[in-house]
Amino acid sequence: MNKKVKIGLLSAMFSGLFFTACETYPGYDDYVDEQLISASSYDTKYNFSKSNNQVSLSDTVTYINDTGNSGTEIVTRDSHVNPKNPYTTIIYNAVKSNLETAGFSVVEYGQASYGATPLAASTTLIKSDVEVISYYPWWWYDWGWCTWDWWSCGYIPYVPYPYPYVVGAYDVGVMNVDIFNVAGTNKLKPQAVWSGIVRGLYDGTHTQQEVGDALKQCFDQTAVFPLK
Amino acid sequence: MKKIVAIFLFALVGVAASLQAQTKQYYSLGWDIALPTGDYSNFISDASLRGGSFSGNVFVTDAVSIGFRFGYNSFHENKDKAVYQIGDGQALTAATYNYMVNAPVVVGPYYHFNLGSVEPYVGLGLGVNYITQETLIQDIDIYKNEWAFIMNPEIGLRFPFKNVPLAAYVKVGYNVNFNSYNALGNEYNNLQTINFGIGLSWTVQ
Repeated sequence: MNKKVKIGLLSAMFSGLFFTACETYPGYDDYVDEQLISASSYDTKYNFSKSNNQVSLSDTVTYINDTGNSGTEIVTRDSHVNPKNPYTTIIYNAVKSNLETAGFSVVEYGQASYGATPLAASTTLIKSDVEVISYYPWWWYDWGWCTWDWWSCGYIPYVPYPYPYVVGAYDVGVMNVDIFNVAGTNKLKPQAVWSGIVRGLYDGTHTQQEVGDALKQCFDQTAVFPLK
Repeated sequence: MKKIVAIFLFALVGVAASLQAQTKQYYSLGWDIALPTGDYSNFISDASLRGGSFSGNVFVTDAVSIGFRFGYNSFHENKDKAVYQIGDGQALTAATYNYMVNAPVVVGPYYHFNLGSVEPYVGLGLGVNYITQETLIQDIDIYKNEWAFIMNPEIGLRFPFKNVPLAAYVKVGYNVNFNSYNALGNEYNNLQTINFGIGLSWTVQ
């Protein structure tokens, strides 16, 4: 091989390396897009010991779905009857189990102290192809959730504290479990003291076990859990 | 910062142009591999095989040259699921794709030893580096692009070919940047990389 050929081959090699080096996101693993992520947040100023470790758990799993032309629909419950949807039952049981593992004594609908505990927990599922959903715990006592939109709740003239949740939903799906401090506060304005979010429910294929693990992780990664 | 970069590049071109007409010079094109060290090895620990550089050296004496280098390296790593404490009371468990690009421009003095069939050299480049740092989680993109000052000591060996004004080279350098990046509750300071390079250079008399 003469020198010209060698130089030509080397030049070609360097050119190839140069252009492949410019690829955007080389080696990107699709798993990053399709995974379930677990996020949690708790109010570091709230003293969980005040709750006597008791929490009322809503028997409703609120389902928010983008129904196209009709806007955002809230599928709620059958007026405080036990959940009939099998998936709702699975989710309810998973949330209850995790709350108990986190050290809570869970008070269920029908028990005498239901709704009278210092803390109340609720679960929301969001499936939507819109970019952002804002929702607001409008009547916690009624376990109803309201999107912060004029067409679904009526016009809200001001934004009371706490401010509405804003969850980037896209088409990935979000499960949101919230624990509210409802003791001694205006029940129209409950304060979330803990939130757990599982994101990515509808992106990729996930088994029930994986979703359950992701929900459990929200509790596991919370430093104040399990309660003492 | 952009003004400093512009002044720096202007001065670089000016120095090169003024020296170019006078003396021996050589230009190099090569493949650069870079390995992050320090804080940034926690951000991306994998070596970058995607890189290259173009450089030039203009001699001011028989043994001393002023050199410049344009470089490029892209780094990436898929990180397994991990728990990140992202704020006070806030945690996130996710797998991430971390991505980073370095595009340094440095200039500085080089000293060359002529041993016949091999020409060792040492140099120190100072300049700026355009750094892109990115963390992807699902469709969430955390990123920071910045200009940083960079210091780049380097040693190398040149192997001149016979009868043609060409040489092969190997080199190793250490890049130290003065920058920082904060993502998912982790702060990464002063990007440092070890760079290995091979390539060809051609001499212009």
